[in-house]
Order: sequence, then structure tokens, then C-alpha cells
Amino acid sequence: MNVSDRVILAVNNLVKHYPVRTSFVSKLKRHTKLVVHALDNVSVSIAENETLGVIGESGSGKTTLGLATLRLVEPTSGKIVFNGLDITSMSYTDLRSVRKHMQIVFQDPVSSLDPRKRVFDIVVEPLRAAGIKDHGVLVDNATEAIRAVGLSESQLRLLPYQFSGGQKQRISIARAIVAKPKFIVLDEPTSSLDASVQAQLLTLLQKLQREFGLSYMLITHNFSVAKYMSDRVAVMYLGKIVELGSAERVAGNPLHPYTQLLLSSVLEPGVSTRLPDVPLQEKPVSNINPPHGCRFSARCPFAKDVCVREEPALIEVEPNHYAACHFAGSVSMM
Amino acid sequence: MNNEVVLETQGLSVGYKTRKGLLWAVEDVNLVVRRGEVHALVGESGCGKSTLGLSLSRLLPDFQVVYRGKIMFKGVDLVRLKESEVQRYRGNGIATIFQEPITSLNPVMRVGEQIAESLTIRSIKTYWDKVYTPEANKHLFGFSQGALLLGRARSLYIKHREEVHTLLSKVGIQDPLRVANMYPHELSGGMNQRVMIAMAIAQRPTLLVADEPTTALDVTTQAQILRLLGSLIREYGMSVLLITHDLGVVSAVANRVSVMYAGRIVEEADRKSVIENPLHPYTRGLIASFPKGTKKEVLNPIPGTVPPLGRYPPGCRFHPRCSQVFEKCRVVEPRLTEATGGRRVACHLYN
Repeated sequence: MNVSDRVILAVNNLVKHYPVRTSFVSKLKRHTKLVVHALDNVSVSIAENETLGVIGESGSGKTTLGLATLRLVEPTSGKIVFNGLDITSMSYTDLRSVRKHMQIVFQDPVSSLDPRKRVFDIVVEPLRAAGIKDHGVLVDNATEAIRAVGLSESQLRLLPYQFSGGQKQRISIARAIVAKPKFIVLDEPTSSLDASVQAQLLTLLQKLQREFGLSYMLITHNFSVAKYMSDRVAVMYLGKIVELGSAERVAGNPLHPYTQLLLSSVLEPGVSTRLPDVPLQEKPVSNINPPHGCRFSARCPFAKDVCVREEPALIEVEPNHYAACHFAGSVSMM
Repeated sequence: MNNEVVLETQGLSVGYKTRKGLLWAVEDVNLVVRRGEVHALVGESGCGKSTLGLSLSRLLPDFQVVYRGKIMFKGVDLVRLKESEVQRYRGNGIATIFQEPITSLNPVMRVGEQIAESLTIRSIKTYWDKVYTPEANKHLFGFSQGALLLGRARSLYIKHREEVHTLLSKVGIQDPLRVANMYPHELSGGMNQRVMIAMAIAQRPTLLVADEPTTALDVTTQAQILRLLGSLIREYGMSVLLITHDLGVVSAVANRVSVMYAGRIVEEADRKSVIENPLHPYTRGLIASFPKGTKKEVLNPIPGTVPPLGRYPPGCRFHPRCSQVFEKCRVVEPRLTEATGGRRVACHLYN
């Protein structure tokens, strides 16, 4: 199915800051407050049937972006428009009817399934939350969902511990699709799984996308997975999008040095695969009160004075391919 | 690299005593690791690769485990030794690093102290007996034994400070003085894994068993850690048994590869042959599972999952998931036999 022009989700200048808890004494001494900039002015949109891959290392804010678009964490500022409806300041009661159409699959299938609930009760939870009580309807929907993810309806009676990691993740996916949503956030859905099981799940997710006309936001740190699954990808670094474009263009012609670093670190099975020379950073990167200039400048081998002074804006370097770098396209690590 | 054999297992089987009886997690494994080589052990979870890795230095609890066959290391069969005798070969003979550094490090000890411990301790039991004497406990007025251990570790660190700092800079830590006084939770995953490696190489092991050392790390950190391991191998002349499920990692660092499925080795060859021309359908499936290219391409994953321990199918254990299965596979279990080019494969297609 082709990606349509109709935008299902638009996020505008989304900001999420977490205050850092400090001791009373340090509050007395220090005047500036410490704030974690998990998301800073992030704007993306996702069209119907489209998959947007969000790539970044741990701490880049990619999970916060996924949670904030569903309002599972409250954004500090910004605007979220889902299906033409501004949900940014909607009350939780009103949000219920919208939430039916937006779901999430978490990274760790073990901790995201209630160990004391039968698979049936886990899978129909989104329906119950939407107010459906008729048992017959619940059973029909659960059966359809569990079959769609490649499990059998007899397994609805079992408990989560009776399944393997890959099967548990299938249950999570069944729960996500049971209410016939339009949009699903996939937060590292395969990173805790074996390569073979990962491949099974990725093909399943693509099949479901075609069948149900779903839009995905796929959060991952694995560039190969993002490239294989996505129409467009957004690369995040310390709470900012540093590159955005079609999966083919970003992978084929990465403009930002950080994207280049990530791409060169991907190890694909092949005879010519070599380890890249990744520069070592002495301090762990932190998004507590980040510097004014380019956030990547501390790690960037091409950093100049201007990079420390001025923060680069996300500009369109080539058609539909954006990068936030003063020297976008003119530097190359590869 | 010369051809000196560092470790050789001969028909090694490892079984767990469970309520359902004795279940063999590793069966009839003949593994040879030579000096200075990175030998990769590849397979999905549940294939027995971690059991094999841990059993090499007998790290599995003795009362739960049954061994058959031999683990030949420095001319000694480790299977026949008593626990106290095996201890002599741990640390300076065979050292192990694990997947998640944060769970392998002690959260209440500074990393410098932990490294100092690994520098000096030969046997946990004698160490414990020395630290925890009834007299010492009396003076502490019932404070925990933990307090004793912590105090002991602190003094060890002060005594061996120079060596600890050298080790930390060996693993690429720029500011060893500061890092040695930090706790594991203050360090990132990559830094913690460096600390683990520093502990493992403290006694200059002959063989390093690395059980998924980079699986929990970011790709950029993974590249750094693998580079570090590579340079340490060259410097120390160490051998590494690298347990992983990531064939990308194997392609980048391994010399030889053993592929494990359901407790048995199904293919063994040098890196180039395995990656370029895999023989066993399982190896081929693993390589095909790697997402390559963009959305237009189609992945052909191996269907199904690894059968649980003790419920292996008759015949070839891979046959229910194999795309090239034929009648013989369902009945006769293939043996690991020589194929062309010094490689071994266990599959009826090649006999």
C-alpha cells in the first residue's frame, strides 16, 4: 500500500524538560535550575500508511518523543495534532476515545505484560478501556488479533510466562492492533530478541501495516532495522532531530556527521565488514543544560568555532532531506 | 597467530539436573581455540552457547550440573578437577565477561576496589575465610560481613593503586584516578563494560570468554569495545571465545566461527567461509535474518523457534524449521563431519 498525503499525526515544536532533583543546599548555592532537555523543539509528521523511523543512541530522547506523542508523558510545550484533532490539552476523559486509535508496543515484552492476567485479558484491555463490555465482541476481536499475529486462539487462555520472548512480543502487538488503531508507536520492539525472531516480527509488522493501513513510529537504535522498515527516518541527538529524510537518502547520502557515525557503526554480516574508528568521548553525553552551540560539537571531528557558538537549524539541504549542521553535506566521515 | 591449541573440549556434554530429570544443554561438543584467535560461538538464545561458555571454567553450580567428556586446558582436564583446584585456572587461565556489565559489578563498591580485588584474589573461599574471622566480627558489634569486605577491598585498592590505574588506562579510560573512585551507577554502559574488561585482564588470562559483551550497548559503543578487545588480544596474545548472536559482530572481529543449534555444533569454519558461503541451512537462515536494504526488499526469516531443552525432535534437530528438509533428516541425526576446505558441517545435504 502506498503512503498517502493525508497526515495522521503532526507534532509541532514539542518540548519535554525534566527538572533534576537537587539537594536543598545546592538549591541555596545555585541559582540556575538543572533541567534535562529530553526533547527540544521537535517537529515531525507522519502520513497514513507511513513508517517514520526514529534513530538515536540511548539518551537521545527518542523514547520520550514516542511517549509524548501519545501523551503518556505530558509535553512541556508544543502541539500534537492527531487525525486533525489537537490533543495537546485535551482532558483525559476526552482522550479516551482518541487513544483507541493510537497504541504502543514497548521494548521489553516481559515487563509490559501483566504476569497475572490471561492473554485474553491482556489483549482486550484497549477495548475495555474504550468502554466495550460485550463479551462476544471482545472474544471476536481478541481471536482476530491473536490470529493476525500468528498465534492460535487456544493460547488466549494461557499466562504470559508460558510464552517465549518473541511470542510475548506478538501478544504485545496483538494488544496494540485489537482496537483497530490508525497509529502505533513501536518502541524498540525487537531489540531484546534474537536476529531470527527479530526478522519474523519485522515481516509481521509490515504485513499488519498493509492489512490494516497502519502508520508506525518505529523507535530504534539499529540503523539496519530502521532502514528496512521505514519510509522516512529521523535521526535524534540529545533531544533534537539532526537529520530527517527518506530512508534511502539518509542511508545513502547521510548529511550530518552524527548520522555518518551511526551508519559507519552498523556491522552487517559480510566479508568486508570492518570495525569503524569511533572517537571516544571522555565524558558521557548529558542533556542536562546542554551547550548553546551544536549539541554534537563536543564529539564532532569537524567542529569549528561557529559550531560551538551557534546552534544550526534544521534546513532543507536537498529536496525533502533536512539536516541540522553548519557544514551539512560538505563533511564526510565515511 | 600460531597453531598452539589453548583450549580443547573433547566430546563435552553439559547436563542440568532438573525436576524432569537430567537435561543435556550441550552435547558432544569438540571445540578448539588456538592462541591469539577470536573464536565466535553463534546461535539463538536457548542453543546452549552460554552454558558452554560458563562450563569452560566450571562457573555453573556443581550440584546442578553433570559433565561428560573433557575440557583440556594447559594439559589438564578441568572436568576431573576438584572445585578448589579449578579455582587456580580461573582469572589467570580463563576469565569471563558477561552481557550486562551493570549487573555483574558490585553496586556498593567503587570500581577501583573491584579491580583491586580481581588483581589479588585467587580464591573467593580463602579470601572470605581471611576476612571473616569470628574475632573480626566481634569487634564490629554485629555489623555485617559486608562492612568487612568493603573495608578489605578499600585497603586492597590503596595497596595496588598504581596497577589499578594502569589497567584502567589500558582499557581506554582517560582519567583513571577519577573513574577508580566512582560507583558503577555513575558510569555509562560502555564505561562499565571497560571496567569489566579491566577486571578480566587483571591476571592476564590465556583465554577470555566474552558472553555477549556488546549486546546491551549502543552501536557506537559496541564498535569501541570491540576495537579495545582487538588491541588487547594483540598486546597480550590472548585468545577470545566470543559468544554472540550477531553475525555482523562475527564478520567484523572473528577468526573462526562455530554455529550452535539446540546444544550441538552444526557448523564450524573460518570467518570468510561462514559468511560468504554458509553450508548449514541454519547458518544461512541466520545470515538471511539480518535486515538489509530498504522497505522494498523481502526478508526470509527462519520460521519457528529453538525447541526447549529436553524436547528436541528426532533426527536432525533443525529439521522442523529447515527449508531443505528431506526424509532422512526426520530419522537420522547428522554428525559433524569434515567438508571441503577444513570446515565441518552437520547436515545430510553434504554427505
